[in-house]
Amino acid sequence: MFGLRVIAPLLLVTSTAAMAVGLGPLEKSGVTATEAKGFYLTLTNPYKQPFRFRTFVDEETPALEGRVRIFPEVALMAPESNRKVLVVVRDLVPGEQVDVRVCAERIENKEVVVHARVCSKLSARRVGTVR
Amino acid sequence: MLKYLLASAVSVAGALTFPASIQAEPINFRATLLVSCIIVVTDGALAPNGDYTLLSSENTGGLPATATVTALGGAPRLTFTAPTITSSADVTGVTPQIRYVSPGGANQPYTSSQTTYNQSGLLGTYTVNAQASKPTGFNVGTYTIGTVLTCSG
Repeated sequence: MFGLRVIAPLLLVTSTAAMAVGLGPLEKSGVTATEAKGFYLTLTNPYKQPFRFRTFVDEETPALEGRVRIFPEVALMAPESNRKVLVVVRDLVPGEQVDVRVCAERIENKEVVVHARVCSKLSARRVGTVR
Repeated sequence: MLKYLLASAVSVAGALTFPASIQAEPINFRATLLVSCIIVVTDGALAPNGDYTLLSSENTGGLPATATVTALGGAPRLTFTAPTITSSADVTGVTPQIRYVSPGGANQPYTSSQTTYNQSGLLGTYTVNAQASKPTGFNVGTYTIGTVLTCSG
């Protein structure tokens, strides 16, 4: 983050802060015989303090937002901890493949300059013939 | 009795040396490495030049931001979105720019566009600078230049 407050005639430069997030794997694919496919992602809080993180469908795949459920979407993470996040792609029809990008970031209390985000590409395919 | 013992001994010896009776079990070591990414960012600070026409982290009093990217299991792709500037003052027509370098080889000159860099190693440390200029001078206010650094596979 780069911040500056100009107060004539004084200048006040904002102090620094750290942002971080971890997510993995960055790519995952799976096959299902049912209408839904789930993926586990690992969310990491590398801080020495607890923070809240959100996991969401990336803006690049907005049309899929209604078909993807994330549990939990917001998580309070203990310091230097990992936790599983379940991503479920729903309403798969036989033979269909759905690619979705799921991202995670820390929920910031303020606007930051370099905002850290990690994204995972998920691909779910239902077996069968496309109707 | 002696015949029985001899017969048993021959039988055991035959069983021990008969190849078909050898039991072999493989011992494997297995690991599945999944690519994951951790980003740690430290904010920078902007400072004005003498006539307030340039806000930059490279001016005296400014500070670059740093981003440390740790990738486990593979080299990630990093994307810096086009920077934005927000302020309580009027920033109409002001185009912010960022640049970044890393010891691993990244060397992006100042740009106002989105850029992508494929990190070659598992660890990357990026120094990010930002600037914005306004020929008529910046007014009193709080200014923030922002970008989103995304790590993806």
